[in-house]
Amino acid sequence: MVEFTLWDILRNLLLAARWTVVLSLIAFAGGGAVGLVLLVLRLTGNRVADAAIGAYVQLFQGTPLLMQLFLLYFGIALFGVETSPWMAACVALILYASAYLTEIWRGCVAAVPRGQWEASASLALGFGQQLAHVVLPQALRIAVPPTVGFLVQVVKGTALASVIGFVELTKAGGMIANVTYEPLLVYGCVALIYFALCFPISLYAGSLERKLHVGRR
Amino acid sequence: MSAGADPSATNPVLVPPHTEVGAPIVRITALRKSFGDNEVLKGIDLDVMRGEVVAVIGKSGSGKSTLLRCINGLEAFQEGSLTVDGKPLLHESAQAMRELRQRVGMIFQSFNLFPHLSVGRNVMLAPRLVKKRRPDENEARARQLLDRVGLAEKFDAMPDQLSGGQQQRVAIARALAMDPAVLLCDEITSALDPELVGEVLRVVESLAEDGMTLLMVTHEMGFARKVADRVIFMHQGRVHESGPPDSIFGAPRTPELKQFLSSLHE
Amino acid sequence: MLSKRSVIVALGLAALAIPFGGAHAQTALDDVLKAKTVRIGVPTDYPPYGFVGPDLKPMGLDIDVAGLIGTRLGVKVELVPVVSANRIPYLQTRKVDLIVSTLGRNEERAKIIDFSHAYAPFYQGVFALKTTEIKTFADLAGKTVAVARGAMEDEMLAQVAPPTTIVKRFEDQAATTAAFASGQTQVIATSVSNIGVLSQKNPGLGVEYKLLLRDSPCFVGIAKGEDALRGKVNAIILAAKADGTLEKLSQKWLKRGAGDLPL
Repeated sequence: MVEFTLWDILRNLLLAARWTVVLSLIAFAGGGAVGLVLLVLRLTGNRVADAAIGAYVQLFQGTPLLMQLFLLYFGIALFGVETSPWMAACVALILYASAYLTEIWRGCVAAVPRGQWEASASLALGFGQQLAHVVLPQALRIAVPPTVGFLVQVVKGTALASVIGFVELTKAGGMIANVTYEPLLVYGCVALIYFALCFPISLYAGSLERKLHVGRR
Repeated sequence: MSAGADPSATNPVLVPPHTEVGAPIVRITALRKSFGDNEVLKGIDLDVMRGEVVAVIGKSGSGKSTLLRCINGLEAFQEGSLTVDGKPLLHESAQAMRELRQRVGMIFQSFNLFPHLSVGRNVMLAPRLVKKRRPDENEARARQLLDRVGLAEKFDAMPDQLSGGQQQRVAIARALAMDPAVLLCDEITSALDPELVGEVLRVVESLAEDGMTLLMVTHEMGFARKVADRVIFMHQGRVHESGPPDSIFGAPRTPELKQFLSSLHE
Repeated sequence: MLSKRSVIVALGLAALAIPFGGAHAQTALDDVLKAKTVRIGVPTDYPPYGFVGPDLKPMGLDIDVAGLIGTRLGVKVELVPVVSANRIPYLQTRKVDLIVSTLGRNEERAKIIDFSHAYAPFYQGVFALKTTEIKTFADLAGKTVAVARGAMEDEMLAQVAPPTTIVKRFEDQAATTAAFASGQTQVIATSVSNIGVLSQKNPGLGVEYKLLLRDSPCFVGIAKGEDALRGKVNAIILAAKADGTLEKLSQKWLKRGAGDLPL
């Protein structure tokens, strides 16, 4: 059989981890953008938009990400729609992230006291101005912990993209573990790398929270 | 800021409204409002003259705050009409509402300052966004107004560094920055510690002296008696009694008002 | 939580409902020759049939067979890593042209895909320590058995094991083997190749073959109805059988003869 040195294992895992990082960034940036648009649409109070977005959120929160990936790649192929694994993974992760993020942020906006809306309205601010200058800056502060918590989930969620052919960190770990028959060692390294990816995110969130809290008691 | 015979011209801080002195600046006709099945305002007719100070008193649930919130559109009403400084209140038009709200300022019981902005920025925000005031002009006006309420040195402070009374005075300055024709005060001292009430009431009194039209829902009977031109007693969604302070407080006619006034002394 | 297997079955049934196999009408071989590339799904986590070297490039018996098919067809080979959970969907959706992935033939699968002639031997069995007494399937009662989720052994075990067997499923062969080697289960149901590597890594363990689950040689998977392609692949396999290539591959990777490979 083939021999892997410890360095071989680590090197291959780190190379695969690139894709984990890229997928996570795309999911978060794309999901954040879509989620923000959905949030503002929902805040306008339009009943149709509210119901539609609510259903969208329920759909993506209520089904497993694995299934969403599967259906977006294999499922739509049954109807003749061709997608590349990249396209399918990015779209699935963006939709998934947007559903969770818009719901998280909706809760954060709801946590801003109604009096802020009333005071800014009484000062003749329009809806867009209320959002941009009064409500969203306050909601942002509240949003940092749950948003970062979710970002860490996204990083781990990219592991599921292996079902549509991505060789990211977890899949690479599986392949190497299966050939070296050293699952503890290999998966231990995988866990360490995930930790190394996620921990700085948590640290950054902490510093962000402290920065935004300047001026608050 | 024009020169003229009216009192507000002598004080450069307040901008004169469009309505003439002595003419009605707020006209409310047959106003009805319900929350679902519960009718809270059962037909209100009210004219407030320019420069008048009107105190609105009554039990909780009588509709006092709701009436005030109808005047600047925070609550929608089902029947009747409402005009402020010549502008009718049209709920469907966001544009009309914004124009109306530039003429009516509101001070809230819970201050509602913007916690993420400094005191100065709180006052300057709306004039910058809505009136597109130039930055230097905006800042000068903001400092002037803060000085007017006695807080000139707090320009760069954050709201959570101020006491309740100071925050409420900033709220007044913030509302004044939009040059309103009418100020609505919704129980503005009810959330304050007793020793802080005075500083706020002093500011309001000086505004009244300068000719600002004030509509105040209040429990401070002593203040109402001293400063108000007219007192309105509301009961179960209607204007039950109305008149100068001396007759309302000194010679109540209806049993409901009598009962209300005696309950205050317990 | 939906298991991978139930997702596959659901999709498989959905595929049955949509008459897609016939609708595609035999274009696969033409597409392959036109594109000068054949896409073949291979395993990358299942030594010695398909695994990776230190550079993470696929190697193994299935990869060699895939290369053979490409060479004989006169086209380039594009290897697509697949796992048990997604290999049949890959084929059904035409994202690969063939799968060479220790695919066993059974009636359920034959309903949705086509099989070639066998190209390599393979059997699945029940193994345990020398000291564990297992003579018939009834002896499995009350014992803990490790098996890889969705694999052939999993399906077979469900048919023959007594109801009181405690089956513990793991996500892949490595995890299953690790569980058995560390003593988490008393018995393991897996393939013979797996046991070979297990014994190599744990010589002192004393693992013994106990019962046969299935003699299940490997077949190439082809999308349903693609008879032209299937014909070509069968011809290649028969030729390789005749000139001893398949025997050589079997010796190289499995350290044993190919035996009698069924058609």
